[in-house]
Amino acid sequence: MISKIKVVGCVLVLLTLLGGILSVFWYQQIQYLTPTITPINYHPVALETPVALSFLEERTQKRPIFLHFFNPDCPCSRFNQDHFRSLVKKYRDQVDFYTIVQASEEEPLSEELGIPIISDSNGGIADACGVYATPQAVILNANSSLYYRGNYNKARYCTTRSTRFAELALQAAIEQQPLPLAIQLAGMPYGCNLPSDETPDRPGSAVFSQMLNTVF
Amino acid sequence: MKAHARIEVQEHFKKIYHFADRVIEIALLLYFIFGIGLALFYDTWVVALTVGPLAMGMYAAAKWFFPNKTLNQYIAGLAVDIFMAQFIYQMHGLFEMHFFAFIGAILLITYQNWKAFIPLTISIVVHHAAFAYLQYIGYEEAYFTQLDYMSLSTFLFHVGLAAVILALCAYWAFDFHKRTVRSLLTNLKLQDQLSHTDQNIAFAAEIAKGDLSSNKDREEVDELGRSLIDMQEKLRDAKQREQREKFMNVGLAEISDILRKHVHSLEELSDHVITYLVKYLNANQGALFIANDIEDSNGEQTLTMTACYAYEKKKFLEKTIQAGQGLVGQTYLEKKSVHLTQLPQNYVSITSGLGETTPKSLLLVPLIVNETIEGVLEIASFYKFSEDAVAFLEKVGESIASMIASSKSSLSMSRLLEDAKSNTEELRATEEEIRQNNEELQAIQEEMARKEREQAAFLQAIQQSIGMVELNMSGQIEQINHILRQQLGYKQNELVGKPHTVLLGDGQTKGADYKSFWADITQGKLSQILLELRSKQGDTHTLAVSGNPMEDQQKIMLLCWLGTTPKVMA
Repeated sequence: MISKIKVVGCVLVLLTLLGGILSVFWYQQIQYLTPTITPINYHPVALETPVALSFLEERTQKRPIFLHFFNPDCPCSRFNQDHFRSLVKKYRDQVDFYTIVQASEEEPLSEELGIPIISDSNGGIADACGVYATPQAVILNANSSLYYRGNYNKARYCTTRSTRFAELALQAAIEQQPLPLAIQLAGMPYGCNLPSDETPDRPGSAVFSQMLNTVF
Repeated sequence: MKAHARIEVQEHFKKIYHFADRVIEIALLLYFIFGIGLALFYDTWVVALTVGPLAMGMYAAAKWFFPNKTLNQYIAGLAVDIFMAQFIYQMHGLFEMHFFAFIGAILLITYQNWKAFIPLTISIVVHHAAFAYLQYIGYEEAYFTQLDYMSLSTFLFHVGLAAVILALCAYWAFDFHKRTVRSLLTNLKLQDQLSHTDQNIAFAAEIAKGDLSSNKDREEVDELGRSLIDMQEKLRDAKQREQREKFMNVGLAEISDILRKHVHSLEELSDHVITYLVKYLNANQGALFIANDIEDSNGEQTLTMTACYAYEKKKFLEKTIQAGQGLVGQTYLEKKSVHLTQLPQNYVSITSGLGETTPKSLLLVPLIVNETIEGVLEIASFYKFSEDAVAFLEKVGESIASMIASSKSSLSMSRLLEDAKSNTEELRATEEEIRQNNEELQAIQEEMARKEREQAAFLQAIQQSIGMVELNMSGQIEQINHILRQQLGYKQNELVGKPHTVLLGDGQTKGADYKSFWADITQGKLSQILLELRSKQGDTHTLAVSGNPMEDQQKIMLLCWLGTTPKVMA
């Protein structure tokens, strides 16, 4: 005869553990849905602001420019690589792609695709474009003014094709059309903070979540 | 299924479950390690290090709470599904991670428990349904798929194929279970048969050695075993019968021997018989009572103890008992055996130099032959008498009774013989006496015959010369002798019955002489006269006649001299 206390105890333990599992998933889900914390000393850069970048001065062709802000230490950025690859393959004849890196000088994918890798160790390029997270896409039109700055898609992962904002913005830039309003509104960055923006004194739960993301 | 087979199956499944637990535990551990490996891709360390251990914790808790139940199998299915979810999550919706559910399902088959697939199935259905619902309501931020939209047909294929795989796995688990049980039962049956065969061989070997004492349960053996048990029982019966017959025959033969040797002495016979019987029956005490032929002073039948074995002195003194007195007397009256197995304390005790105790069993057997009771046999023992012992005593009782009867009749015969002998002796003496008397008588008879002959000769001589007339008392002639009849010329019977006076001449009867003569004679006096007797021819013969009265014979005899008349008479 199985004692009721044992059954109840077992059910409670199992439910607690199951609850723990669901909580972990839920916590991760919430975390991924939270936008990247805006750095304290962030200066927003408005769209259509001309952006002067030294490595662009030698360009001969007047084509839209796509800046791929990449951080190999950021899982979101790593996950985004496949999507970036598809964009490069699709639009490389119409657009100049550049990979902007801060922490490392190497980026195997860009090397493989033959995309110039620009080091931005002090965060100058990022600040000029108003970027404080990875992965982020910046599209400059042919006049080097800021056409689009934001996520590749809605959340950190490119799992929803309908929200591939970067691609849609790129298409619009190629067609020299104004940026659709919906895409402008979707510009809230998701992902990791840039190493150049890292400061040790960030308050609240955001700090904790950031730490977790950094630690793991 | 029989109880022991069910236990065997349960035991076997315990081993299967133990093995499957190991498989699942190793698999879960490998899943966990794999999760850590996956964390390297997108830094999903939190998920890898928390969800995996929690899922393993659920499995461990189920096993800890119910170590001998199958709960852990169900939780294992759930854990597999959680790991799959974890992997999908870690790889941000990589579809291939779904295969882990199928790997888990294949691993679960080792439990051979189709029900273990239920929690896995429910879990898969629930989370698919949940995400499908989230997608349906437009929530797109669930990172379990890399598809931006899953069509209904894709979803149905996905679910349908998963269902088919799980159903097949569940079916195989069910089928394996069935096959395992079947093969186990077959094995058990074979083992059972083998063990029965071994047992039967051992049993047959025991029988062959002559050991018929081992008992086997019919329920626990097969057909051959039952046949062997039948054979053993038959052999045992035959042996017992033989032993019984031997017991009976040997006892009877030896008793007959004893009876034959001591037929002449009832005391000796009794002594030997009781001693032999007590020893032969492994008894402890015994006595033999023989009915007396002669009733006592009150006219009642009595029995006398003629022999005893290990009897108490007190009892021994009561040598004679009456019919109906005590159990012995009662047995004598009823002519039926009495077998007492619950003797009261102190009823009878068997004593030795060291102490005394009460026997457990007392047997009284009447000694009957031809419906005549000759005595009673009483035997006491520490053990209960077997039916064979009772039957043996009853049978022996007949022989003893017969021998007692024969002994008694032999005694009475010898007494009769003694009597007859003495009678014969007496008879012989009497015969001798008679013979002597006879001899004397013969001598006397010879003397008498000689004398008779002399007298006859004498009489003959007398009758040759003396006439004789025999008269009755009234004077009628009864007889007349030949010579006188011849003299007078009469024939034999001519004168018989006539008065004697016809012989006398006329007037003579009226004479005084005659009258005096006749008067004397009739008075019994001897008298003599001269008479003239007239012959038939009328001649007269004067003859001197002597009248002799014979009073004893109521006769008168007249004698007359036929010669010349003496002159003196004339």
